[in-house]
Amino acid sequence: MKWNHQTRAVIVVGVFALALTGFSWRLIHVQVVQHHEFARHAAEHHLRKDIIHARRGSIRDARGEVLAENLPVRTVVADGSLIKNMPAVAEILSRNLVLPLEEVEGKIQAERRYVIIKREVSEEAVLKIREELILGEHRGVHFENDSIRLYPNGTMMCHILGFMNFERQGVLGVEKSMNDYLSGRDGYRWIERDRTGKELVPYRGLEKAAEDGLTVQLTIDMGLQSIVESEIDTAFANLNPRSITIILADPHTGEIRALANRPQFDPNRPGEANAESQKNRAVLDMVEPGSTFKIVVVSAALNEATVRPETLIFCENGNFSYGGRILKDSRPHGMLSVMDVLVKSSNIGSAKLAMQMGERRFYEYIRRFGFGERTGVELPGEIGGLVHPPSQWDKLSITRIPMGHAICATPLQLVMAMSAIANGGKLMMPRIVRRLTDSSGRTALDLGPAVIREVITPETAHVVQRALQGVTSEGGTARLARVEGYTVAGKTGTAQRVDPNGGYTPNKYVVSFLGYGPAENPALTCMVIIDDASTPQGSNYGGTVAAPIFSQVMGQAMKYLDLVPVLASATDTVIPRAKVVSSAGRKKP
Amino acid sequence: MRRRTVTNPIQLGSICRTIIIVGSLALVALCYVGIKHQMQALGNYQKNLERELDDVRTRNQIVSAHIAELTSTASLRRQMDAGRFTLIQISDRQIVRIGPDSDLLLADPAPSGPLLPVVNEMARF
Repeated sequence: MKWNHQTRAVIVVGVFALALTGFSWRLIHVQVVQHHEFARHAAEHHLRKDIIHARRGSIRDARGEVLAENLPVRTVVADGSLIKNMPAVAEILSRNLVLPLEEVEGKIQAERRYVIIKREVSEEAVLKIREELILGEHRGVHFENDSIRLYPNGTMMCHILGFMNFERQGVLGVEKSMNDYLSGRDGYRWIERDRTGKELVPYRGLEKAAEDGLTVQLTIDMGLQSIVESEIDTAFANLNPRSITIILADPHTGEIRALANRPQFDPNRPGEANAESQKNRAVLDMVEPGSTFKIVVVSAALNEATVRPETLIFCENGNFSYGGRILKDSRPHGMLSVMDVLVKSSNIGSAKLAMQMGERRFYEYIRRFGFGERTGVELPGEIGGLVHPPSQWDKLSITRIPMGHAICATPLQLVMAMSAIANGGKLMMPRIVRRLTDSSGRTALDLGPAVIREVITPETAHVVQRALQGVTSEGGTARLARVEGYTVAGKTGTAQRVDPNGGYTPNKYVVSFLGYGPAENPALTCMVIIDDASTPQGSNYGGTVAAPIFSQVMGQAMKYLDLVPVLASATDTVIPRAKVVSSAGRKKP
Repeated sequence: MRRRTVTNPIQLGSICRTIIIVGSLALVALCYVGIKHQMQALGNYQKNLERELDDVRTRNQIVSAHIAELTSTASLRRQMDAGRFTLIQISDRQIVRIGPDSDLLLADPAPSGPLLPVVNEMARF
């Protein structure tokens, strides 16, 4: 090969061509073959999916009072790599966040780029810190948005409302059962950042707005709830029981208007509460209903027409031997009408009514009244009680179940059974949530009254109503349940406390009163149930312990609802009309 | 030797065309930069507005929460216990409840006509 200018030119051109081909190949490799990898790397550095948090919906009572609301707070975060003057920043944070200086200094370290200094910091404190940081030209501290759930009424309604855990999920009560509706849906936004991490707004990508949670309006009326809370506090202090539950419900709609349990807890400080105090006994406690359950057997017998209201039942003078065991009445009775079996609360009379009806039919009525299945109320963890089918009954069951033994029910089930009698025979589904509304106030879901089934005919219900009115009259077992100016009806209950290890605990009783008022046109069903009250020996009965509390609650509740007294003996009514005394909190002379 | 007198003619048209094209391109580029700059400024403005709106919302939520706390039943009860206000008793006799006249209803259970006679039933006691 001749080494002339032509050859040299060819070589030079060839080298250039090769170099350019190499570059081109590399370019194509980077741009085409490795495109996804590099695009991902670039995206990792510049693109970020920002979550737009949805605002949790509030919870309100039937009149619109706020029961649970969000309180915005901040989380103080430090980036040690950006902090130049560590002692000065630590001092500012320590002073404003009321934290020991050593703790803050220990957290802020140059190599730690994300360290949480303190959570749930108020907006005021954040403003002060920000001001001081700007003045001192310090960098490396930022504030993240957060919120806490505020329950303005403290312990009131704690079992209904529940609370939220650290992960913003409802734990108990409506916060849990309505969690999906309350929490809403978080949105997102794809953003592009520059080298310093600042968002490049013109290059915003796909964006989806957050859907705020719905507002849950409860059926609870805070006026009635306040009455119940006040009475339950007094009773809890006076009787020192293991627990008390009071429920007020509208018998026509099944709406729960007030519900309280003791012991209770503060949902603003759930960490301090023990498991016992967090228990919503209205739906979680399985109790032997005692004599309140006699309403079922009497209603069933009358509805099946196995007896008539005036049919006489021989009550064996208080001692009935059956199945090798003696069944006793608290007082000896001879012949009692079916109505009087309820008024006098005869165990023997109730047993004979059930025996006359037969196990199968009696069991059917127990189930028709809603026992043995969950009511479906919007409260989490509800249990269905314990009702054995007749195939599992022993010889004594037919005499024990009519008086509320060998069967377990929740207080709410008993309230709904009594409501069925009060409203003319319809078993209603209990409701604690009335409606769901969106942030603009539009109704998203309206939960109206729901009839589960007609348990007894209106005629039967009317007869039982008359008998229940007799219970609170002179000669009945619950004269202390009477309310001045109004007529009320109901049934007492006294049952021995079930021992968790089997059998019954001696001298420990669960006493209750289950009733409604006014008797002519029931507006409220009320149950008071007290577990192991401290009373003098031999005086722990539903008629003596629970009935007076029922009377207090119903008296105030009916006046609060402005129900016209039917009896002329009505005295003054206290209505909640406020009169400001003085701004300093002292009464004017 | 005679000097050449012929000079290269200036192609004014060509120069103008080039200037116009380059100028246009420069203008377009400037516009592009200007628009980009404007977009960036507006983006920052939008971001600041969003932040302000967020702050206002936050403050609004804080105020709402405080109002809820101060007007809650429990708070009112505490204030009442502290004697800041009191409940006044109103006798049932001082309450006027107007309803259908029961005497007239007994005589005519389904009264016809647009007017329904009413009476304060409690006044009868």
